[in-house]
Amino acid sequence: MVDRGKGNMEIQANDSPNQKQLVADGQKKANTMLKHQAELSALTDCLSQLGHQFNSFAYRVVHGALNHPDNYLPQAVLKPARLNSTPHLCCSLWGLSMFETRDQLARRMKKNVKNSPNFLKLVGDHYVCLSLKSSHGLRTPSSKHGHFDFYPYTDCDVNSAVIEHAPLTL
Amino acid sequence: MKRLQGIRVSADFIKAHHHVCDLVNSEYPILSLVTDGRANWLYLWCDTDGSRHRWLLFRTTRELLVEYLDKKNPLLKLVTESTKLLALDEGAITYADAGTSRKKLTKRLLKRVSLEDVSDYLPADDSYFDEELTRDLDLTKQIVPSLYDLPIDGSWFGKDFEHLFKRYERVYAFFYATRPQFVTTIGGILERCLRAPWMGGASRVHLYSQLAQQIPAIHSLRVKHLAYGSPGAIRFEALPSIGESIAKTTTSFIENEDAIARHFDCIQKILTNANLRSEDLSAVADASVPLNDDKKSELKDACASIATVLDVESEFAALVHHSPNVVVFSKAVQSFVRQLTLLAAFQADDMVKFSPEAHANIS
Repeated sequence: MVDRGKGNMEIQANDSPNQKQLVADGQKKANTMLKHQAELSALTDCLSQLGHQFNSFAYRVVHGALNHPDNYLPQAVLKPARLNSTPHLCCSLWGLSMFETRDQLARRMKKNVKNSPNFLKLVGDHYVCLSLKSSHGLRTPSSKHGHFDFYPYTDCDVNSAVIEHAPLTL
Repeated sequence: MKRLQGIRVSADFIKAHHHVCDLVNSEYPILSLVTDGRANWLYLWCDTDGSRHRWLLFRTTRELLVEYLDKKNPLLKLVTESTKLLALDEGAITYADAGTSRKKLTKRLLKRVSLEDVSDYLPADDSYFDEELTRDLDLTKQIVPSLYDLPIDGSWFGKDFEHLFKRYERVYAFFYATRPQFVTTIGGILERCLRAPWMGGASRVHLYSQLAQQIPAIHSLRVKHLAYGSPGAIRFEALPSIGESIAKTTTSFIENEDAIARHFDCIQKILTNANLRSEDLSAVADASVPLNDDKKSELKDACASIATVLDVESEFAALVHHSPNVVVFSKAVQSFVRQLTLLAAFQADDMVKFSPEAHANIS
């Protein structure tokens, strides 16, 4: 729907009014680049799948300290070797993992803890509820389990969108 | 992070380990499938102190891994029944956001440990495989390897077995890596091998030996039984569909050897005249290859003709897709033809019978 890969955005005939608004919002940010824009632009079929509309809230697992440096770093930065070992996931590796609801987030974390009991030491044992808008960045559609990837703009301070930060109960 | 008891092992022990795919990945790779070319290893992330990460490494059998993927056994069983259990501590990694310098891993400490040492890190009783937690697997593809026979005859020496297994394994790796598999990362492995700096001779033979080392051990060629007599058979446990393709392709090769040799020579002549036979072009894009468009087209046509005769068009298409340029692709094709030549020689000497009918799946 929204192709920022070559720096242009096109509205297609079957776009809904909301999607047009979304694109218009994006055009206001025409001079704003996504974080890691160069890496994302180099990937085929990556930017073209972004541009999905934001819902009211988004949930992400974070550390207890809201300003922890790893809270909003994508896997591609935290674990760059993965870009070589899983090239088919490169687009996703540059995104920030989010969930539509707190329950979906907790369900996923519970599954991870079953495999590795200390998992929350790695990603954090708190969650944030974010009020993300198209002025913050772009996102993918969510999976059937409520998961999606968020790609912030360079000038986006994700913490400014936090409306709740609390311990994660599994 | 608690100090682990255990016997220190050289980190070189895991030097030959190749990452195959992640079986659990959520924000971070928690459980990875790794191969050493022979056996399946699993790397389970288990602890951190903020600067160091600890992984539990354990070898598992083909049978247990299949049962885990079939959700018949939890991950816990694979750990507790492993005969080799290691803990790997990786040194500090200081990462910064893009644009600033990144520090790479520097320290690795590997220890052989017991289950008691790592009891805090063990997965739960119900740690069953969950496809929601990975995007590296395509469960619609064959996971469970099965048995098939390769008929042999004539007189054999020790070296003959060594040569046969080597050639057969390379052609098996070609078919495995150029087709969709249950491990969706296989295309990435092929691409990595084709684009890795290449310091070898004129052929890309190392491509196939490297691939053979990196395909998941769950699907690598395992000799289940070997009956030697007149006649006898080698019974493999692997993917029979690939065994069948090897038999068909080798048979087509034998029937069309002269035509294939002509196309092979055409490729050879172009590369030799342009002094490209031993040139490393792994990092060069097609547009920068020092050949004019006519010669590039001739290379492509020769490779396409070989693909048609051998009925491997889709496999060669995968090679093209992952190759950096037409020269690397052509060398990969040449190397594949060389492996087939050597395999066909076994049939010419009446030592192996590659006909697809004789090469049936027996399981």
